[in-house]
Amino acid sequence: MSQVNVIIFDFWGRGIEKMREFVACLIARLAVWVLHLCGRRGTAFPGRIAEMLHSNYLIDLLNQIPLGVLLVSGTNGKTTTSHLLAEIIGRSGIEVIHNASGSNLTRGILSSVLPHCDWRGKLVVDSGAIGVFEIDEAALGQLLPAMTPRALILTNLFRDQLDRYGELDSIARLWRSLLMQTEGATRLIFNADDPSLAFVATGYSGEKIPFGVTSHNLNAAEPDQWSDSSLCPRCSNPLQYSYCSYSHLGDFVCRGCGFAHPESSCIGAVKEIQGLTSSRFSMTFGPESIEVNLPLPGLFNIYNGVAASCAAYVSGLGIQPQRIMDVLSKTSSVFGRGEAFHIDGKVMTLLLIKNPTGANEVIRGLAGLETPTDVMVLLNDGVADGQDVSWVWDVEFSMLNLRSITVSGSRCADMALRLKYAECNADDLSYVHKDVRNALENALCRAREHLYVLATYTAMLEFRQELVSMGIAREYRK
Amino acid sequence: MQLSVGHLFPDLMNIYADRGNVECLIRRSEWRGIQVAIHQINNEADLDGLHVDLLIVGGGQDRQQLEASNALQGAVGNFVRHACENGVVMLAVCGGFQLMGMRYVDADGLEISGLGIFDMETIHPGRQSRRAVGNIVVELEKGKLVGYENHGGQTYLGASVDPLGKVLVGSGNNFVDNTEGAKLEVAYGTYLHGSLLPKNPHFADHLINLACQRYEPGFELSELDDELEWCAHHEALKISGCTD
Repeated sequence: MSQVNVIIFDFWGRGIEKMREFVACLIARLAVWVLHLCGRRGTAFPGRIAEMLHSNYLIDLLNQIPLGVLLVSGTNGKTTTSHLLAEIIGRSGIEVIHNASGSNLTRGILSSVLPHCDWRGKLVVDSGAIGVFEIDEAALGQLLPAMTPRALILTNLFRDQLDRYGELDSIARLWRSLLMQTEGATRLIFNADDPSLAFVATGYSGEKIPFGVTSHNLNAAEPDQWSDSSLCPRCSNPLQYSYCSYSHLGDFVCRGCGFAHPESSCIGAVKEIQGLTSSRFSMTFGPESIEVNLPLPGLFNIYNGVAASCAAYVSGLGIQPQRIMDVLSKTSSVFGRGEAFHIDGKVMTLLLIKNPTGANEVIRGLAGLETPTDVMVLLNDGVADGQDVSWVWDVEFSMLNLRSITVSGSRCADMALRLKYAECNADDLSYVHKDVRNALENALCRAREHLYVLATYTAMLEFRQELVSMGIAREYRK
Repeated sequence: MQLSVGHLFPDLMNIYADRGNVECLIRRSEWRGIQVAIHQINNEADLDGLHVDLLIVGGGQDRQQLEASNALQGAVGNFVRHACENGVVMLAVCGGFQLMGMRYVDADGLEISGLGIFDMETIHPGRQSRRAVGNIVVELEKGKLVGYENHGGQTYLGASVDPLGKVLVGSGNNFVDNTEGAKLEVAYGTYLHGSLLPKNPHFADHLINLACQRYEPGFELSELDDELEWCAHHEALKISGCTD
């Protein structure tokens, strides 16, 4: 009798589960359809609805992906790294499910998986499909104990949106404890040049693949005093650097406890960085060596390229180094991250700035250009930008060699003030325009050939939408 | 005139743009022809015979704050205490403000002793407890201060120290008594960053003026064109739903 009961309950339970999947998927799809009718693109909303109706739905779906899931997290480079990785794998003939829009909370990931589901809410993909998802640093905790990704790629940890994430140390603490609970089946691919990540990795007992970048002719001897991680993550003594690529990334050792840079198994050797357009680096995989011409700006994108290459190579998908080289050399920049547009016979490059480290690297790139630059900065204080705009005071705007500068965004007054105190010596300082269209027209008018637009996250989205409505940019659908 | 500014622990206590305050002090002095020399003050600094008119310290993460507090137990602490006794102007922000109290109990319950410049103590109720995060507006005797606060510690003032001002929007020292910061003669402590001084030019000038008056009692700063400063100040007031 009791056995019959169990069977009935089990059947009933599974029936309910299926029903929930069906309803969650159906309503989320309706949401996609309604958004589409309104001319909107939903990157998070459908997933949010499905999540509300069925809290474990995402984990269920991710566990159904045949070749498993590669997760990318870190402060900077998540979107570009996962984009490059998805491209390398996709061009190798493997079906890739990927949150290309950069919507990286669990709801954003779920939104990107839903289109791959059938009417019952079950995943329908190739038997050889794989998932590549970027995930927000704090949201990683919602996936990691509940599932076992095939690989976890950690890019870096910089100070970022302290109003949202709290201290830098608290993310490192969270990750370390997550990895201590994670099954050893996950490959941990991490940036060994970052002391915080090297320490996070010591908490993990499974397979670890450290990667790094050497750039002996380009780097400073040691991080400047404003960098985030001047203390040993293990014993809090000052770290010593034999070289530093940027911010606190480099070859470090602790004078106190001997904690040191782990030996990298994947190294990108920088050959050349060409302003804000491209770079050249080489990588060695076992006996084979490749040279990559990466058409993306700056040293930070070399790190992204190395992380993606390393992850593609070691993930057991049979991807050859030659393929990696071909794909990287033909890639293009992702949504708002070095995207170029042509307008009125001039070029406009849109560069996302989110935090001091990323912004300083962009500024360094601009400062390296031979001629004075025309720049527009858009500063917003939305939740996704960080409501605290203090961080702009940690950005070295004084390095810029400016011809003209224009400022817009919800906190344009703060930005203008920052530039005043940086004593940017532009011939033509026409500052504040709250209206972004107005600001763009003004900036374009004064730009000689090339306008660089630096924008925080929501400002970048708004600005891009403005370009779409002006017929300059295309809607980003992928 | 030349001012000497001591920047305490620039390498440890610099989270989120404390350098904006230093940059503001330098520019606003230089724009008036007052030269500013910045001296980094930490364990490695040679403090023998060093003279300062103004001391500034910013915020840091718990780990860095512990390092700074250890350094304050030695020569650096003596230097700061001695300076305060001799009427040196001080601005201590966030974590640096907490260190100027009697004690700070961190998120793990670890007790960190402070320098005791201000009669106050700060207790962090634990990592799971609510932090004070957001835009903040403070009413001073004359004018307002705008900024952003982000702290876990709750600060309670003792009887022998005044608050810097009254909270109009935000949390300030704690969730209970509506006080913000501390003030003892020419020493000021506050939770406001944003950065604080550029957006509050009246307060920046007040500090510079006090430092100058050490050389010339009754000294008055000349006027600057502060249109952008007040524009940012008023924007911040508006965001918080305040009027002037």
